[in-house]
Amino acid sequence: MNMNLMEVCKSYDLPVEGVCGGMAMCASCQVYVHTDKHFGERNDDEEAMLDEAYHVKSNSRLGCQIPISTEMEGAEFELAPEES
Amino acid sequence: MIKTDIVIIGAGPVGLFAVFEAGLMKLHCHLIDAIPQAGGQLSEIYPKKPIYDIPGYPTILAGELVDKLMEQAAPFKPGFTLGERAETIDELPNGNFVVTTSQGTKHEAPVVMIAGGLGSFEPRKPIIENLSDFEQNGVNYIVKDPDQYQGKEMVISGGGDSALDWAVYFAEKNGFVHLIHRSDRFRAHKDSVAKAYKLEEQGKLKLYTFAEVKQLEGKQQLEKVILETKDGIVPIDTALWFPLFGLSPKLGPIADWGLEIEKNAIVVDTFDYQTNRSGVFAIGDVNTYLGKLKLILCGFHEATLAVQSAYKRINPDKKFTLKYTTVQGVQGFD
Repeated sequence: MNMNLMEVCKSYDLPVEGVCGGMAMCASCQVYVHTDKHFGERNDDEEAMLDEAYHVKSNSRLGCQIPISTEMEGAEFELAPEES
Repeated sequence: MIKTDIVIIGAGPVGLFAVFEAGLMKLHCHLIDAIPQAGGQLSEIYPKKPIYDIPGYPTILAGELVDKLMEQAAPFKPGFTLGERAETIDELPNGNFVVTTSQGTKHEAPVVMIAGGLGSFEPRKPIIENLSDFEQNGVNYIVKDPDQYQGKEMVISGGGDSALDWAVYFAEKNGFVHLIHRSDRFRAHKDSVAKAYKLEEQGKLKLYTFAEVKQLEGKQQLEKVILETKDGIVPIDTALWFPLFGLSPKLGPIADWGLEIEKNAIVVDTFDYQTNRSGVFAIGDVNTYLGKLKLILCGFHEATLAVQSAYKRINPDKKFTLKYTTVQGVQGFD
């Protein structure tokens, strides 16, 4: 199904809005990546959205830009707080 | 008081298509939307993105779909109240509803259709402790009546089209603009960014990158913003700050209208997409029911069925037979 992290969170009814549906046009799927593993680099759109998001940390990513992969086994992601 | 047959809350694609379906049944509509243009999420979030699942269109840009829906609805002369948020739905003794907006504009109709999408788009506000003290007192999230700010010195924060376009606009009109952004990358159009840099060379604008407004100062009115920059704290004297960080949708007043809400959506009966309030319907992304898919094409279907029920409520003594458009054509209103 080629799901991304945001879609998996939504399908399990976690509190992830995913307002833009995964187009990297909002930051409502922001997650903090708590693992040394690497899941690709932030692309330009993702960087631009995180530039204006709130509660951004160095390990922030947009969940919709991280595809589910077997490399995720054992990784921990934390949902960023909702904007308000 | 604006009087009509159906008040539609939300002028996105589903609200616009409801105008067409209602018009085929000779029902007049008036739409309300919090943002100043029609098109909802399509015009606000992704106007240039292609959509691939609109029946009949292998691909169509979101903004183009809005244009086509406006064209389709045009013969039925819908009214629009834009830039105002629907706040309350009250019931009159005669069974009609009055929908009142944030600016006090009132709309009366026997039927209300809520096509509110994900909720009304509201400005994303920065996290600053005393921010609310200065709202309307120097801090503005939208630029209304730009003429009043011409020639003034101001601070604008943001990296998107809104921030860049307004910064360029006011700098060109002899104001002085301090443009603040958290990085040196802008989401805005390259041309707007280039213009901003050029205006900086001309001494009409100052760009602060890797900077953020962190504090506000002032007695009754905004007097100063305090920036945190990579080189330390920078105060800027100003009576005007525009944090232009884009809009995000919020359910807002919809949650207070006595409707059954589940996961930020309005529960409806799939017979006709009516809510628990008789005469109030919910169509498009704003509703929920078993099997709901938040697709534009589903909203189009919901609008069509809801309009049938609306007709029966407005014309209880009239019989109605579905007439195909191939038979009757489209007879617009005079």
